[in-house]
Amino acid sequence: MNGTGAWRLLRTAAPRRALLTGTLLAVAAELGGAALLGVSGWFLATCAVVTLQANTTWSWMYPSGAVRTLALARTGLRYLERLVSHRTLLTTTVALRTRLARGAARLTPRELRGQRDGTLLTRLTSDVETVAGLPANVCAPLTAAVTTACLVEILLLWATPLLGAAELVVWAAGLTCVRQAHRRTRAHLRTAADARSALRTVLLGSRAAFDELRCLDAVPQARESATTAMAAVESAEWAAARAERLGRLGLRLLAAAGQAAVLVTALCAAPRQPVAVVVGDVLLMAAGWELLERLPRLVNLLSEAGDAAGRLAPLAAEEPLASPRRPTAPVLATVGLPLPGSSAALTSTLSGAGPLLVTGPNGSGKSTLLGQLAGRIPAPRGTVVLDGTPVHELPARVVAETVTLVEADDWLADDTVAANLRQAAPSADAATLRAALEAVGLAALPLGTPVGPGGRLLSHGQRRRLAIARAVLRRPPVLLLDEPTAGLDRPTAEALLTALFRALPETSVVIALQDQDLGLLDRPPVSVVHLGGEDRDATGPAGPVAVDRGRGAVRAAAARAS
Amino acid sequence: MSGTSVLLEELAVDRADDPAAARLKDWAAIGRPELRRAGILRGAAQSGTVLWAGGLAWGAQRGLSALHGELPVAALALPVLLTAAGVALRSVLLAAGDTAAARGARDVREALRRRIIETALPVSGPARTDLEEAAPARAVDGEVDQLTDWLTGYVPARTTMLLGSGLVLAALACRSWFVALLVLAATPLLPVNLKVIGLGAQGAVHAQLTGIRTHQARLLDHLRGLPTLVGLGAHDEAARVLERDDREVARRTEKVLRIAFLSTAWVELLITGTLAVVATYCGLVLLDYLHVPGVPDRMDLSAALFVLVLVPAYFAPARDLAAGYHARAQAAAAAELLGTVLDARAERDLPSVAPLRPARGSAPPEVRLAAVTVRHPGRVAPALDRISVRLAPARCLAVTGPSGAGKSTLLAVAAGLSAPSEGHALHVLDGRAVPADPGRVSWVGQPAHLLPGTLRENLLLARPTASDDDLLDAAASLGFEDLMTALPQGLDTPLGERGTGLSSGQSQQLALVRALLRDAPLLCLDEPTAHLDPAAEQRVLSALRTLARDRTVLLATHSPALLPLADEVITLHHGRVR
Repeated sequence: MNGTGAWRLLRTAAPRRALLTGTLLAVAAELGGAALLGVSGWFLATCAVVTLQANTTWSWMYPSGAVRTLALARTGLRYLERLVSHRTLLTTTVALRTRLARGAARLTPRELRGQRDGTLLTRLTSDVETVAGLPANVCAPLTAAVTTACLVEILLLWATPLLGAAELVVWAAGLTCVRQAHRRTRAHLRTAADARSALRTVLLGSRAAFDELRCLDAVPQARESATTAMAAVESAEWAAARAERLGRLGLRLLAAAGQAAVLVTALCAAPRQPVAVVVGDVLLMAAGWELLERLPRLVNLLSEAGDAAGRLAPLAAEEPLASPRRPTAPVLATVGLPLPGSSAALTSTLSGAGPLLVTGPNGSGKSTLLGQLAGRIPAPRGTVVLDGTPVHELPARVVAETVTLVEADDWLADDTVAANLRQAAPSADAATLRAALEAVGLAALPLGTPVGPGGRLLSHGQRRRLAIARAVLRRPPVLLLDEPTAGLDRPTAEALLTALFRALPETSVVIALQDQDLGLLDRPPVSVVHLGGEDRDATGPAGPVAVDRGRGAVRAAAARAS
Repeated sequence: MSGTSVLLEELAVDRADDPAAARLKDWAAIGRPELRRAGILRGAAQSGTVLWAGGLAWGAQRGLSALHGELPVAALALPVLLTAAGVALRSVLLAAGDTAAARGARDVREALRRRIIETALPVSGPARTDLEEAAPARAVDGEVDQLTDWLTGYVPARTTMLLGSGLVLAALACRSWFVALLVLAATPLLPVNLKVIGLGAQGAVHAQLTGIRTHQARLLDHLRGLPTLVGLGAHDEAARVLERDDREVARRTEKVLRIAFLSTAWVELLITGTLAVVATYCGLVLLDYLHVPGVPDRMDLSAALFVLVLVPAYFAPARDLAAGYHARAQAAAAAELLGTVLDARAERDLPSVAPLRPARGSAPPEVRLAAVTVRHPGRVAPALDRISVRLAPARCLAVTGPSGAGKSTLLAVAAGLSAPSEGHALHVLDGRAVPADPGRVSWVGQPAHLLPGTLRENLLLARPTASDDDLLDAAASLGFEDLMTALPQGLDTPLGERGTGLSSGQSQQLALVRALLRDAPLLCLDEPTAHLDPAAEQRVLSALRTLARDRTVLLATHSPALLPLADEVITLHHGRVR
């Protein structure tokens, strides 16, 4: 029962008063239910005894009234308990999910990239619901069942100590049975959760690559692996359910033993104890056992919540309280940044106008270099600094105030063109947005155009240019562009780059370009970082080279370490 | 019994004209025998309860008769045994019933999941474009599971109620016909309210499920864009929007629950109320206070206790049915959402019965597009506007034009990957025109998609029988010998989700090797050199020369370097040939 993590999470998100009210209502309702049966039995037996003894002083009005009151109270309390508990559930879900969705921004870009399709979604939907469901689905019924059982036990111990002791033994056996079943169930459920995540990944991946799969005639293989994953889910869940069923069966069989023991012990002690009390005891016991039958299910739910909380822990780290300080003159600089795949290093200060070019063949690490400059990919400590602090140690939102990176295949929200642009400039009016579109040569694209999931309603080039327009609206001090012209025809690409520099005269732009696209620039770059493997010889000297033309405030130097 | 049948009749009429109900019934058919067995076993379990009540009442009577003397243990042996045996019998029958129900539900779920997988990944016909990317995964993972409670709870509940409540009613009638009449009189109060409340809940449940679905789509989109949103400083705003959505969904859920709990509360009130009435009646009879004509006024303690503890047992199946009713409304709502995933294919399936699967390396086809128009949903201007193309076998057509002119769409239509809104896309084989079929096509897209798994597995998709040597030979024949040697793990290099782990140039080269292994007669290349530097472009170009030999080729490109490959060139502009 690893519920502690879940409780810690709940404590911060659940409204405590509602939680307490719900639990109290549940306890009261269950007690009412058990008492209804017990009091009714006692009432009938007393009536029989009274008639037998011709006792005329006993009044039937109060006990019978109590029975009716208990009946009404139980129904009302149950309804109220359900309402309160589920309101707690919903409030907690929203609070937890919001907090964790914000917390997801603290993950490293690598983690985010790895989890974004299946895993993170599961965390924020089913895991959050499992944890938030604790009060309504587990906490209230569990407390109610245990409290009722304890009260019944105390009553028995007080009335007939021998009987109480006997029942205690049977209940202890029942608890052991529940624990054992639970341990088995848990192992199976762990397998099932992994299988589910695998199934989702297979389906999402196959759908994304469907065109290729279809033409390769490989759809049957993809189906096959999805079917295998599905079978794994079912068989693991089957094993878990089976262990749970067996646990419940064991508990019910123990109930048979327990009730037989009560009947024998109580009736044999009859002269010392009125038969009416015995009947009441037995019926209370029966009600208690019925409540305990729920234990296996509840304990499993508790563990599931614990597991879910464990998975949520990385997202739930406490928010650092330090308010992001706004650097007055933010300076992004690299100090001896090792260049990917070579022994040379880059030392440069990025401020003021003028493009810094990063070139090199595919796979030479252009995107990695831009990712390191933006702090999305860890660089060796102290090599990329923003106002003296290593950039990847800063909160992403502080970095975002200085640096904006447009990735090669950047994300677009499944919304309109205007909504995507407004992410960068929430309060911009339509004219501003249109101007930004015009700058990237998308003037013909209406602002209300839906871009579709992943921007798929737009062409590849349109997607790329829309992402650039969005970054332009942000007017960042440093703008990093990963192959902005790929997929564009030459006139469009030239116009794009020219308009870009005109729109952002103050910005220090770093552009990753392929060698053949270097001619698209209408101005000489202030500096060129040439990345490349040792085997390159056709288009330039081996190894990374920085060409420093000494313009403006930018100074770049890369030296071979030899 | 009649009351029970009335209830069931009402329930049966209730949903007869509901398409979701028909669909659910259809789906559940495969698990029906097991589910019926579950119902019978659970109903029979009530006989255990009757035995338990009998033992209890008998024991109490023995205790009462020995009010003033010692009660020998021997006299108690039989009643106690009966009680324990009753509980044990009930436990065993219930466990057996649960197993049968779980087995039935599992069969149904498996069949449904298999169908969804088949729909999401169709082997023939044009690829689906109207199905949201994450919908099948959500259907398999979430909505199918929403049927479980309905299958294990509601479907067998009718049989359970008929048999179980019948057994208890018969036992009640044996000891007191008046109490049996009382509970029977209370029974018709159940169906009317269940029906009314159940109908109200379904609409709300549906609204809630739709809300959750929309919300999940937003959530997925949000999470995909998280690095970008944080980089733009827009993350807090986006999180706020998400929270607002979340609250809206929560509000709807709360409304549904309020109604759902009301019906449960009503059933509970009926049960506890009847119990209170029966207890009062029995008490008065035992006290000999009740003298109403026509009402029995004689009863012993054993009979009184027996009927008292059996009253909740009589209603228990009805209570389960009430709980199952909501499971049913939930299942019906899930069925509608599942239906949209499962149905759409039927409308778009090609009429052709057996798709023509050409043998590997068969003769190159002629490609004909006749007045093809493609409209994307939500866009006014068509992506392609009455395009006609005729490409002779083994020729190469280059499609150029500015970004967004419709080049990729034209290739997809010609490959049979998407169906045109108007016009026809045909492949002509040996003088016979057949609908375009992706089975004849090697597709290299932008960016190249690779599946999770090893590099070898990705290559084997194209030709499952190939040996490692075949794979390396294929790479070598395209001039990519160094591709594998550059990777430390060679063919065993693991590729992550969406083929991460390779540079875009490496992915593109792999896609070309895959195309060669596939050996299909029609080659569709969508910007094959878009992400490549000149050196890599040259390598790809020479590889393409090898690939294009004896194949019909459709090539969408900007790169002037690729144009010498083409026999014909067309230029698209805003979906038209310029």
